[in-house]
Amino acid sequence: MTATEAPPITTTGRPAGEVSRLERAAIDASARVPVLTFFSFALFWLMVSSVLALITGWKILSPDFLGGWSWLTYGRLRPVQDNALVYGWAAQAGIGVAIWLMARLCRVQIRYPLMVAFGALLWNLGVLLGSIGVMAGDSTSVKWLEYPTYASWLMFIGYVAIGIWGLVLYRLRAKEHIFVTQWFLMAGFVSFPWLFATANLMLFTAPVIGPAQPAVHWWYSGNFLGLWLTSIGVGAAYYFIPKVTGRAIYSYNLAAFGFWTFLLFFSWRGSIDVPAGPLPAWVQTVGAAASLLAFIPIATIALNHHITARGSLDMMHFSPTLRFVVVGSVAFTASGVIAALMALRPVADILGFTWATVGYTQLVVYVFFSMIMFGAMYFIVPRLVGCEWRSATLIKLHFWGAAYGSGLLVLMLFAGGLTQGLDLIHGESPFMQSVISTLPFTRGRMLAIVMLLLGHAVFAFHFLIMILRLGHPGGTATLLMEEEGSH
Amino acid sequence: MDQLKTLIAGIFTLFALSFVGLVILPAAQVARLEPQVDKDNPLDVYPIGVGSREGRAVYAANGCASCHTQVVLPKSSGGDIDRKWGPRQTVARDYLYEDRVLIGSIRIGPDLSNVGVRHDERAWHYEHLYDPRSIKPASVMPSFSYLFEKRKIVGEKSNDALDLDWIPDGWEVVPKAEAKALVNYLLTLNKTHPLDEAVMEAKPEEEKPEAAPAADGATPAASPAPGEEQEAAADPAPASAAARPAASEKQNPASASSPEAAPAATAPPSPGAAASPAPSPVAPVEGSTP
Repeated sequence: MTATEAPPITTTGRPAGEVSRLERAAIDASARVPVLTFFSFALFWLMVSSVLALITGWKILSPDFLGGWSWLTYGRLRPVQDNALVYGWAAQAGIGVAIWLMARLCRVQIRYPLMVAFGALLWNLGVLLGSIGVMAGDSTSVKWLEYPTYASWLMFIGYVAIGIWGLVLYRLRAKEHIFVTQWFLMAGFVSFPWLFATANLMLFTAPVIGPAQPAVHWWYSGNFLGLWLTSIGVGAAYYFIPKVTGRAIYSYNLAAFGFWTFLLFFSWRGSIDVPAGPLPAWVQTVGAAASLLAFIPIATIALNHHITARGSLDMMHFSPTLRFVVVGSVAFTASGVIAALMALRPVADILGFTWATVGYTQLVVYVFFSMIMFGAMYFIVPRLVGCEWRSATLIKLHFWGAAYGSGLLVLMLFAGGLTQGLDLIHGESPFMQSVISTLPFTRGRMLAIVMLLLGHAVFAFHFLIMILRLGHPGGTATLLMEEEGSH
Repeated sequence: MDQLKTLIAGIFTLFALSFVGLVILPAAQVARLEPQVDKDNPLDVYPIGVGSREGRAVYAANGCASCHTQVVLPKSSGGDIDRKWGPRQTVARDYLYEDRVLIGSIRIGPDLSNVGVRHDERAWHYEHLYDPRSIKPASVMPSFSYLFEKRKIVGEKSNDALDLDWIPDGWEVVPKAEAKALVNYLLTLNKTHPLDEAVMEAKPEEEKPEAAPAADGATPAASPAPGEEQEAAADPAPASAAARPAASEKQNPASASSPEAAPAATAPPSPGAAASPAPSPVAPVEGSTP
């Protein structure tokens, strides 16, 4: 039994093989256009963000690089880079993966592809207009929400179209049972429009008074990463780890407990990288308490995954999907620990307003979420295009670039943030000292950015090969190492 | 867990709880905030409005908040006050009239809550925006030279012309309207005014008699006396009011401001200070009690 032909997950011990191979193939075929559309756009924006990261990183080291033009000033490029990463890449990779997962788990074939294509078009138009708008000077200047409202409302309408389409399909489902993965995807599905619409409404369209704005921003920023992206990432992990290892999820009850505590505690955490600012002290205390309590769902989820995969982890040598997804899941656990630490007052005092907050975000978006998305895509794409990945070498290159690049990035950001913070916290140290002392880490960051860019470029190229149906003919999956007999 | 309705209802409820707790409640709490009116001097109202909307728009458009913050932390949390970024922490009321709060999230550059007090001269700001490294060689701030234009001198050299030595004769570099608006805005950035809910942890700088020429009727910034851009040793934590007469002898004996320009003590407990009816709306308080 090869890694990619494990029986579907069962959470109630029902016999495997319930879904016939033919049916699965039909579902996959129907999902081809919508899912690949989202994946293609997502990879485009990932490349855009990666190139911008190179430029903005270099601008910190050499501030006059590409200087003198308003469109390319750091303060405009950086938001474009960040927003392209989350709304262009992360959101769309997530939506693509979610569509496929829902189709498979609901056992429903995708219909009305034009409607979802319309939604995708609007979403990407929004991201494009938003990016251009920011470069042209229409930035709102609110982190993660810099797109001018003409772009963000376009994105929102696109999401609503996708959402309605999703609901329609859900009604057509053949499967009554709701899997663990689907709980998490539902949480993401419900939370995102609420988050996005509320934030845009209360900050830009019908703004609340000044002192209340940080509350909206803090809630949005924390939940966008911590609830929406995390839901999709964890949900995907709950599918692929059992799927690839061929084992059922260890405990259904543990999964349920982990899910509800996740919703409860993660939604109160607030943001790490958007400061609470002038918010009342009780809000920050609540956020810190929630960060600590969030250990409960994190430990639960980690335990569940670990025991599910226990004994089969050597499959990580062979299966790209498992390798990426497990790295991502470990990063999820690590990010939870770090979030709790950074919420503690003494730590927040040092690391607040420093590169460390960016480091935390990159840990969540790159090392946790993106790695899981990559793993999912390695599994899904062959099933949609009917051929296997062309080259194990390219997969390995991608993995090294992405895993070590993002690891190095996060390390440099935290180390740089620490030196910056230690200087800032001492009032007798002039501000410039904090700038100078982080320089070595800013340089180290450039190496990481280059590694990431190369990893992403390799994957985008490989993906292009697949779309052009130039991969290996279907049959056995492309594995990272030669397999030595069956498991 | 086969019930879809339970799932959706549960997600909805838990999420709504966080929305109410983290957004609605704090928003309701701050909705009741009003500006502070000094009991002894009803003309002293703080805050009184955003200094320059136009300038704030330029600030937002150019992503200044990507590198600069506008929050001063208390001494217990950081070195902001010791570094003279402000005499007290910023609180909710400081942002009362800001239609877009620009707190920022990272300090690649210094905090700007009180930059209008720290650097109160237009010329400094123009020079800094045009070429940050001419003032601070290690600065990583990009050059905003696109906010300026180089042009032939027509008639007399413009007042705002930058003092640059590489300019050929007959030419000048002047700020465009955007740069002027931006500097107007920066000069109004001043959150030093005492507030009852914020503890004064350092002495605020004294005010210069002449107001900064803000183009649209903005509050004149409370300007420090010259020469304290050098990061002088931090003032010791709030000295008792009784020990310090409300005179200006602290950092610059050479100060041109006459003693009677010493700001009025507007807070009730300041035994040493003569309560003169200074009409300035942003008179910092000498020696207010901690």
